[in-house]
Amino acid sequence: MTPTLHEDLQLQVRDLEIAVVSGAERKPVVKGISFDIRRNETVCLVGESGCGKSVTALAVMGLLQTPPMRIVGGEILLRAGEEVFDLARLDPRGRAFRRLRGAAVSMIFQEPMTSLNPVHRNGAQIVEVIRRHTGLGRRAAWQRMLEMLRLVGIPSPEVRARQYPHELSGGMRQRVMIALALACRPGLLLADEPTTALDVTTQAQILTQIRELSRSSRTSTLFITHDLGVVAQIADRVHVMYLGEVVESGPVREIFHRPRHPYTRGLLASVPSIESEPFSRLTPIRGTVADLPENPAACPFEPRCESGFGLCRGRTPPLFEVSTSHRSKCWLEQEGRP
Amino acid sequence: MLELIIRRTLNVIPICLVVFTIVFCLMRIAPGDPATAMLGDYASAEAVQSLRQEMGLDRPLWSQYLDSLRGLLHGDLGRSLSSGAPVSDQIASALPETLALAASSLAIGLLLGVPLGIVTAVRRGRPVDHAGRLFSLSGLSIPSFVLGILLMLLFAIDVPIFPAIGGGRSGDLSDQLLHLALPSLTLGLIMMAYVTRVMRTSMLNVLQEDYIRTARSKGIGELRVVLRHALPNCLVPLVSLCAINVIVLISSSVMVEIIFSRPGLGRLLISAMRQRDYVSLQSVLVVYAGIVILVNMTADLLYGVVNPRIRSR
Repeated sequence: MTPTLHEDLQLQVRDLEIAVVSGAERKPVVKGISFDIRRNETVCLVGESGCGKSVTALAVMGLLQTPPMRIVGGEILLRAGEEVFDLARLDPRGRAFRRLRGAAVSMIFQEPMTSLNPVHRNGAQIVEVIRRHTGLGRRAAWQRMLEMLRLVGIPSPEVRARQYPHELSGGMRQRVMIALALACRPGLLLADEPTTALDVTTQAQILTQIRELSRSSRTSTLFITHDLGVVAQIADRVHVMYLGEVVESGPVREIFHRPRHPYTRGLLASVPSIESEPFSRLTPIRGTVADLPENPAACPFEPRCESGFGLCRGRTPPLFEVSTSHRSKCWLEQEGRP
Repeated sequence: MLELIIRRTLNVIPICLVVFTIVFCLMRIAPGDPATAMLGDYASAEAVQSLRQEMGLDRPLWSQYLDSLRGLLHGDLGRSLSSGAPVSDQIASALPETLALAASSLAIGLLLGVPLGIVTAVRRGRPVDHAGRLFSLSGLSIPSFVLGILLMLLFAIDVPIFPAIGGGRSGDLSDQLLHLALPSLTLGLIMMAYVTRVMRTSMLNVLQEDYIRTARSKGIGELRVVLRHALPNCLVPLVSLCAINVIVLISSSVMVEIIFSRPGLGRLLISAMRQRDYVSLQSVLVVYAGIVILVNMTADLLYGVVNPRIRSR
């Protein structure tokens, strides 16, 4: 059976479950998340470290550390040209997945300093992916690579292409990574905290670059970050993740102006704003991320929640629809509640 | 690059001088002298005395030292005290034997050790990994003289494929290669054990690196990821290991040359020592020192080749 995907969508993740499997033991890392990305749209996955956002992206790339990690349920539907693939069912090491990786879906990683191979020249690393997927000859691939470097704003690309990664700054290396990721014009780009390791001015440039390039090349982007400032700049829609679950999702304006889930509100309250009073205190979310919940039946956020009540300790809430595009996984949304 | 090579080559000279001086002093401190060694314990004092005079051993030490040094600097290594033959001729015939042994052992070690190291790393925890590690552990534990004798028993006596001793007829290349087989296998298997271990460890480390994940994200096959992206990054530790081990190899070659009666530097060294042949001994040791220095120099140059970050400095 060939999987089908609504024609507006580039990627649809349904009930994706990822677990660390050792022997008979299964420790869930991602607990049945669902989200989709439309064509030419930028979607942000937001959450604290360890909430499963990077793992989700790696699963889409087929680059999970297996063993011990494994997709144990759900589907990942990806559009690649005219075809639709369920990546959760493809063998990550198999030929079919390798044909998609780098061509239909590609990824920018967090650490520009270590993500490029130190013994290969910058240009050659991009040429490799172009030649792998396009069948272009050596010379044509080289030209395409130079064009990509120019596109990501690298000055004198002919010189930079012949240099090694250690001769470039962190920001430059991340540009090379962006050029590498977009070289085969993928339909979907995964960006896993691509600006976290960079200084603030470079961060802004790189963000603009990613946004403009993905717009102009009609690439959908899944942007992973814990930085709400970045989200505000780049996202069309946002999914907030907590402990392996999506707890709130909606358009970026809704999330920032009318956050519904107590966790999202906590996140927003803990960010300093230019308009806040000088020397006023930020409000942190109390407690720390629990590794294993004490009460598996309860809402996972209940131990840290400011607005919890009786029901929260008894049952996990479903995703409530706040509006047609806005959902929150919280009992506060139940009919008849304020 | 060229300047570096020239500078490093010039460095060889002072180091060889220091080695020469140390060897010269050590030998005069050591008990026994060439005249007694040649004439035996029962020779008369007069006979010993006259032989010493003939050999020039009665002159003051500093004059002997300056004489040999002058000879060394002019490329004249003097004549052997025991056989009277020019030492340079002895070394010229022995050196190729030793170099051939060292080079072929290194080649065996690398040709077998690198692939085995890669396979055990990629198949970590599988049967082939356990077998490979056991194999390399036994290679590390077995002394060269035991392995040499075992191989000789197996492949020269029980199953006589290879000749047991000697260096082969001079001028007959295939005969010489046949004679080289067992000695170089002895040292090569030990070398392989070291190479396998280092290769496995560094491959396991490199496979964890971010740039390997990047390589996989390009959709290229796992074989290409390992050979083109991981392997070149494993070469730096491998070059260091080889540099150290070639030196170990040269010293174990002395033992192996004795076991297989190969006419190499090692045999020359041992017999010169037995005869208290100062002149041969100091020259052979200076040659050994020169080899060690050259190996280190080659390794330093290779670092630049395998690691672009070093090259640009």
